[in-house]
Amino acid sequence: MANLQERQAQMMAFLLAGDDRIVEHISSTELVDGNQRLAIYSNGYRLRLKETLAVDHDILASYMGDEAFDELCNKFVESCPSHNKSLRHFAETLPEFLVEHYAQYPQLAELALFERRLLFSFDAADAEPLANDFLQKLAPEDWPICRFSWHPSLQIFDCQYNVVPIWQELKQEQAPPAPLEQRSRWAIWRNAERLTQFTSLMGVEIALLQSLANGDNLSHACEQLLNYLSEEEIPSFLHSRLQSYISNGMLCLV
Amino acid sequence: MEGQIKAVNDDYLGFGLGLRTDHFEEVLQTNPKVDWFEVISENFMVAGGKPRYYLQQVRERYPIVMHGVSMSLGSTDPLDMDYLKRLKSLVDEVQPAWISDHLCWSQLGGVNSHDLLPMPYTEEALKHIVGNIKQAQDFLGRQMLIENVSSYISYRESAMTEWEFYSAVVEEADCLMLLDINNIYVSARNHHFDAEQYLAAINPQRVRQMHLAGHSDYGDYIIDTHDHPVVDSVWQLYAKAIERFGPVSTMIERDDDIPALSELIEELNQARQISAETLAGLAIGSLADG
Repeated sequence: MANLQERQAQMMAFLLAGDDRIVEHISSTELVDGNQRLAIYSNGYRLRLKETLAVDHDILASYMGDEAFDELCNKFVESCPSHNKSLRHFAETLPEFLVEHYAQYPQLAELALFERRLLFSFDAADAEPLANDFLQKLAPEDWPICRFSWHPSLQIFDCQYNVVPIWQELKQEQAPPAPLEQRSRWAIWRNAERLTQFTSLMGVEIALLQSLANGDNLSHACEQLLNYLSEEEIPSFLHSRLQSYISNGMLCLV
Repeated sequence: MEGQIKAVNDDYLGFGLGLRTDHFEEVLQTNPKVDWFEVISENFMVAGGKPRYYLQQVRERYPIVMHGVSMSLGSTDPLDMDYLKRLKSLVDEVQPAWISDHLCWSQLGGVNSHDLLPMPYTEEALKHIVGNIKQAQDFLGRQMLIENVSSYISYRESAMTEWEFYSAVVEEADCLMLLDINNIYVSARNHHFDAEQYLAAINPQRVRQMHLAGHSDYGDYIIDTHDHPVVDSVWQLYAKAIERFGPVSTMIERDDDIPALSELIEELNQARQISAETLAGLAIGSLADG
């Protein structure tokens, strides 16, 4: 095993850091020497990882521009080798990397995080969403004890900058707005047609959704809402919001 | 000769294509004349959503085989049991005709190269990869197909040819072969060996599937890019393979610059035609001999 292990370690060191101890163990041909042959692998390694970043973060790439994004890719590939069998997860730490290395442009990390959240929702676990007429069929005596769970694809995205409008404009191939400090919160999920969607949320909605996620029944959820709304406002708010979440495929039965 | 014309296994599926995202909807809408589809296992080892939905839908209409790219059977890292468990779960759900992975290594020390890196062809490497294939087959409860990779380097310590190594692996691990005809052609050009000599050394009883694909030719070397149509030289080698192995389930891999489905089906029909003509030629030869 000693030789095989050593040779594989040398090859990996070459791919990751250009360490050339492997070269003497590679045969040359008349046309192509060992260095050139090895370069096919190291070029392929970088290209493959950079392509993954470009596909997963196409809007970030548009926002940064080709040159700056290429520089980011080079830095990320050098600093963050892949520890996952699937390239799908390669860029998972990109938002943290941007926080650390691009602190002067804090909107970049948030934009990258928004893209990662969209990716998560795309292939999160399946679950049967509630039927559109669920609330109509719910007996009045069952309302207080009824409990819901989030669809597995549902996430709350909390950002300090206007990265969602930036994302939306770039997606439409329009000039993005200037970065602004502007706190907003969003629900991101996959609907019944398996399309990823997002919508902005008010603080009171976050409270309601968090309460449902914590396993509270509707009676307890209403108690949480008293921190935001008067007792009279709660029934219509609760009904309209729940119906909206259900119609959008965001909720399932516990 | 007759024994060569008849498929050497009972699992002959005909002519298939790789199932790619670009064609998901068209496959369901048009039920194209493709005998089976091959899926990249890792692309569907996700919790849910569109990939799993389309896989289920296509599975209801077509036989499926599962092709893995990251088992890293040749690595000196231990086999990734979490990966194998997730793969087994997908296998149980999809019930593919067979599953395959590569004669290579990809990761070391938990770091993944996301490439199919060639093995040195030594006794040590042989013993190592055979042990891993046996372990994977035991865990998965089925025989695997192992595919030859395209390679651009050869190790000075290699003590046998690729075909000797590959043949020894499948015999000792008692697995089957997914013979990639394009990879044989690419490696033959890169390492200056005779591709037909490679084919001649392969045990027909072990060959269960063939891959065809395009590559990028840089003159002094070739890279297996799967972004072009199959070239004439590879078609010719495919005809030689059919001549030697008889009917073998064949599919065309296209992973980049993916064309319209109709274009791939046309290319697949070329494989059908070459296979049929080669087998007809053998049958005539067989009659004449008789």
